[in-house]
This record gives sequence, C-alpha cells and structure tokens, in this order.
Amino acid sequence: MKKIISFLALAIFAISAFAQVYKTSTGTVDFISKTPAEDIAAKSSKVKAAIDSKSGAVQFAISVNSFQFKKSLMQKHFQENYMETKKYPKSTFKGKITESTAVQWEKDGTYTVNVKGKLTMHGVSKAITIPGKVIVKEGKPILKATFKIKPQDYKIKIPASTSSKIAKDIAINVNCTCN
Amino acid sequence: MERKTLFKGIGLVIIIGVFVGIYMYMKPASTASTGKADFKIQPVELLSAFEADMAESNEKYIGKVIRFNGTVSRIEGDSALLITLSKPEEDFEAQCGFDKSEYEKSKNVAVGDQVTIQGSCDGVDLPEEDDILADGKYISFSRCSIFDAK
Repeated sequence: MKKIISFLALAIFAISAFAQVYKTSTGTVDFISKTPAEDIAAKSSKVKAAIDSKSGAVQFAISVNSFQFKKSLMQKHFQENYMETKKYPKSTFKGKITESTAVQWEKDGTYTVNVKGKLTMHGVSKAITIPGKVIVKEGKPILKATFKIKPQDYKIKIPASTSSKIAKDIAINVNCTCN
Repeated sequence: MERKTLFKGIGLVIIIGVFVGIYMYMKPASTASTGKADFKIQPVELLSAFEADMAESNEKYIGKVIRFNGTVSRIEGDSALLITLSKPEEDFEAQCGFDKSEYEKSKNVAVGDQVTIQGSCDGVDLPEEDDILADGKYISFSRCSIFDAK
C-alpha cells in the first residue's frame, strides 16, 4: 500500500513538474499580401502568447496598433480603414492542440501539431484549425505557424479602388519563443 | 502670352501635385514616437479611463502619442525591446515596445531606472475567463522612444 501511495505521489509530482504555462510578450506575427501590383507586409513584435503543456491550450493576443509597415500611408489605411483599430483594437486566438500527447515537453525536438480554436479579428470570430510546430529547445517551447486567412471572412472591407492591390488570401507567419 | 503663362502655371501645379503624391505614397512609416505628444498622462490614469469607458477611451487614445514616466521593472528582447514599467501595489504593468531602430538609444536603460517614455497607445488588456495569457492588467504602447532616463 505504501509503495502504491509513493508511486502515485511520484507520478503526480512528475506530471506537475512538466505541466506549466509557457508565456511571452515579445512574440512576432507578420503578414504579407502578394499581388502582381504590389506586395504589402507588416510585422508586430509585441505578440502575447501562452501555451499550457498540461491541457494543450494555446492563446495569442495582438494589439493591431503594434503592426509596423514600411510605408506610412499603408499603415494609416490598415489601421483606420481596414482594421478599424479604434473599434477593434485586439486580434486574438484561443485554441487547443488536437493531439494532446504530440509534444514531449521535456525532450528537445520539433513536434508537428494542429491547433483548433477561434480566431477573432475585426470583431468577427471564426473557428479555424492552424497547422504549426512546437519546437522544444532547452526546455522552452517555440511556437511556429504559417497559415492563410481571407479578409472577407472577417468582414474587412476593401474598397474597389484598391482591391487589385490586396490579395484574396493573406499569408500569416507566427514565431513565439515562450519562457 | 497670357495663355502661355496659364499653361505654365497649370503644368507647375500638376508637377507639384505629382511630387506631393509620390512623397505621400513613399513616406516611410515612423518607428518611434519622437514628435509632440497628443496626451501627457500616466499609465495608471489611462487604465482608469479605459476601465471607466472602454469604447470612448479606445476612440480617444488608441494610436495617439502618449508621454508618461515610471520605473523600469523588466526588460525583454535583444533587438526590439520591451520595457515594462510597474507599480506592484497597483497590480498592473505598462508595456512599452521599442522598434529595433531605437535599440541603440534604449539598450543602456536598466531595471530600476526612472524613465520618461513616449509611445503610441495600443489599448489595455484585462484578464478574461479561461485566460492563460494575462495574470494582471496591462496597458501597452508601440513605437516607443525614451525621452529621459536616470
């Protein structure tokens, strides 16, 4: 009986030792819209991300105002006309790794995962599954993902005059090193 | 003669217009809030304003240049810095994001320094249910610039 209790205590300790929430406030998300007319790209280096190694819960939050463009006019149009930043200042993602045992948190390696959840931007929430990677390096997870979204799915209105310059599918890259 | 002068005048206006248009289109986006501040207000006062009326404060402050001061409590990143100001008794932080172009100016700042910072207001983060991201209240700023440090 004593042995069973000791074993259970050890097992609980082992699980709790590896179960933790890894976070960052300095992750990056960049996006690019590619058309024959023009490539438009922007990046935020202030992405908040968190991943719970026990439940597989994953969250991201981006201040839309933090996206940095190369050209001032593009940034102004993005903030004021397309994303309506004053009305919808945050974009968020809340989800969960579908293969909860896919990542060996205590072992360095690259683990391919799918994260199913809800992406909210411009005041619209949509269910989405994002393919990504969890790279465990020296006990810290790096979250990487590349996926595409359609502006129209999030009710982002593109005026007819600029529609030829903005891609139907916007490519998004996520790179967050959590601690 | 008058017609020639008129054509010259119209031509000149068109050329100036084209140059102004090209300049406006090509003008690089600012990576640091170095100009005149729209508001001089402390982060704790801003947080109160957002908590009192989120929609009105979003409209009033987001994207606006705010000047404030505080004590550096945490520094993250090695090129694009995130400097955090906090007052522990108030259970919230002001997170200030610096573009890598500001790295040389801001890299000498250390934890405990008193700094005056100017940045573009991103808004606030308040903890939500089932939230594993936030463990307190945050107000954040982008394109920050250090005005004074000691």
